[in-house]
Amino acid sequence: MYREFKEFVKSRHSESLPDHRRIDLKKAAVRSSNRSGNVALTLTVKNSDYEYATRKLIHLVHEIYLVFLQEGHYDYMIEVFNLDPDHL
Amino acid sequence: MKETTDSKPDPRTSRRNFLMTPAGAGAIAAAIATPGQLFAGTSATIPTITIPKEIPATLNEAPKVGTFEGRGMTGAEVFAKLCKEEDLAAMFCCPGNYTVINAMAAAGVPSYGGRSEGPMCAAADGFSRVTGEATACSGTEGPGFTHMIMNIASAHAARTPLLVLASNMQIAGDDREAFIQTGYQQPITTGMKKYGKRLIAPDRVWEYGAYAFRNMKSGVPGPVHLDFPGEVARARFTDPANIKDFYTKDKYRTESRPQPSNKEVASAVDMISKAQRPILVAGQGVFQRKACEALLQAAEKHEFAVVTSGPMRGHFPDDHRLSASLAPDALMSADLVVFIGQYCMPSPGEYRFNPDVKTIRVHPVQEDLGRNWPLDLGIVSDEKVFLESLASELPSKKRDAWVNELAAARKKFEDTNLAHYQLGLKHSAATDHIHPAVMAKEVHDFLYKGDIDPKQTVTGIGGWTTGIFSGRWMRANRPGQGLACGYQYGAIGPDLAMVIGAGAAVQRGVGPQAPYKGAPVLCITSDAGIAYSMFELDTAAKYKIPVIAVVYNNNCWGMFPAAMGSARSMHLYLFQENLRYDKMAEGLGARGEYVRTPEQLRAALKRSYDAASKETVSSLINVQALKEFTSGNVYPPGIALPTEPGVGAFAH
Ligand SMILES: Cc1ncc(C[n+]2csc(CCOP(=O)(O)OP(=O)(O)O)c2C)c(N)n1
Ligand SMILES: [Mg+2]
Repeated sequence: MYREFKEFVKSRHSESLPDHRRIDLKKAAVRSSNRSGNVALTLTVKNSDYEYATRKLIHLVHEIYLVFLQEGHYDYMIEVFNLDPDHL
Repeated sequence: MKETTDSKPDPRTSRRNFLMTPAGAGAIAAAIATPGQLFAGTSATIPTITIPKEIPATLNEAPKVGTFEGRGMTGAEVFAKLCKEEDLAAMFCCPGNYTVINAMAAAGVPSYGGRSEGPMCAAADGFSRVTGEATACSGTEGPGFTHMIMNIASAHAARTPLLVLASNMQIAGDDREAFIQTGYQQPITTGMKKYGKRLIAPDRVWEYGAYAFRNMKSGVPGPVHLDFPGEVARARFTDPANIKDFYTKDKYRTESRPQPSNKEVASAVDMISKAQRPILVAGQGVFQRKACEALLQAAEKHEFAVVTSGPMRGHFPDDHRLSASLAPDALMSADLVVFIGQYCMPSPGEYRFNPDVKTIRVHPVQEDLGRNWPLDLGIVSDEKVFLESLASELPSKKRDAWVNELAAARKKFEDTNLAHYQLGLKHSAATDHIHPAVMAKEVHDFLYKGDIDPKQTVTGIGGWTTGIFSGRWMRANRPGQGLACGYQYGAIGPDLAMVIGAGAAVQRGVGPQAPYKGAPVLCITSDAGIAYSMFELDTAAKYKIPVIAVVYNNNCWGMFPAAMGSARSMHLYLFQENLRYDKMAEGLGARGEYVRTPEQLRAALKRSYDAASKETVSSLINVQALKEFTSGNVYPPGIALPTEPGVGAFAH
């Protein structure tokens, strides 16, 4: 799962994404790291455009929930986020 | 089956010949080996399934509304007269509340009697969901009424204009438990109705009928529950002067609708024009208020994206280039969302929009504007009025980049579905059982890629694994073509009954179903789900409503993973394996098919559709699967919740 997560985070810089969806590497860089199962997300501001970087970070976290986890990690959502099947 | 009014065997169909021929034990074996033959008597002494002659005979009686002459009108007849004048589209019931259902049928309200009250309530809901019309269901006091509860609640979540009728003893016996079946009905529907009343004054029966239709046909619709004590249903009126507020519908309700101000329309036009990637969420109000045409005009003129939501599907065609219903990946790109007719409002995070998205919401009732989802502009307006204003006020515009992004996202969604299908094919071949992605793709290809008009067949889906996989593949290419059976309330089970109700609307060509009058309808449901509705195959047969029920049989309640790690639980979730729903269907007068490979499924769909279109005979296809397909660990991809809004969505 972490490998997929890493890929997902990396793909946010991809040239194939339209401008409004991409994190511009000239302005900010994101990467993930994994220390014995504790996963961290780091965003580095490149050109002092803090507003841009903060906004992109918020969007990224939002997409992790609503795209990455929702599309392929149903069991994880139940275990970790208590997504209660009785509600479904 | 055979009608007793028709004594000549029909030479066109081998099926009928089969039924006419007494069959021995060898023939039973042949029937199992040759799918598609009806359950028939196994010897000369066991008669075949027949429709009694009273059914067509009484259906063909001319309608007769009661009159004040002679013995006069009963309270039930007065009520039925009002329902008739309001064009109540259908009533689905089980016997009970006799005076009322008899009066409704006599007055000419198209009426259907079935096997249990819950599914008949769901059938009324299904009829309404694919037509937008008000419908009724009815059951007997106490038991019949309480049996409907799950489906009344579903109808409430779906904002269905559903008239729930039930008898309820006599006022004279209130609080005495006189005889049997006493119950306080109105408290039971608290929280699941828009309006309700125990009728206690016979002279006010018309007045409360007016209340019912005023509530169902104004603002946001919802169920109305009336319970009829005997004193009201059986009251006699020989003089209209004895009925309170006995005037026509133009006096007790209005068709006036909330209109947006010019300033509000101008603000909306300004925001939409300035947006780079606007998207309109077309909720059920667009369908129920008959605004689909205006929506299409506005969208094409100004090139905004449209995604549909609600308990019915198709109010914007899935196959339209501006549709985002199959383009989940594009949703996050929208910079402006316009909600119109979204009666059940999600909260941010439940719909896949980005956190900066600006929001306009257009809704007919002011009190709901701003609930759950923060607004940048809220407008009180009827959906149709507003969309007509948009169609006239929005400038023509081309948004090539946005349209291309939608197309790319649609392609990605379709490619993902195909990848799931390929995995499913592998699993199917390896196990000799049908994976749900394969089932869904086969039904999809059959309905939309073959000889059948892709706009023709109304479908409904339910079940858990079943519904999640099928949701990605079922399409609605015109208004009223799809049903999200579990919409918002998430009930397992009403699916087949809902689709039979929808089938009644298609059979009569009501509203948007007119061009497809008489076409078969199709339901994809689960083994858990079918148990709640299957007996209504008898009802479908009796009224010659041709339905195809595709049953994903995975031997369990698909929530069985919840039992893992709980020592003494798994038995709670599992059924006997390899149950034969096809055989049960045959016992109810439908055809049965049993399939375990994609090829068999394809052939079974073809035979079932032919039987449905040519002979108005229903079929149940038992798609034998394995419970393990639910989990992605052994059989990827496993289930994933659908993206909302869009195809397959069922929460909002
Ligand atoms: C009437 C009802 N009972 C129970 C539930 C809880 N529930 C939600 S999904 C589900 C499993 C349903 O099994 P099935 O419909 O056969 O789906 P599948 O096996 O295809 O996953 C259950 C028990 C519900 N939503 N509605
Ligand atoms: Mg099941």
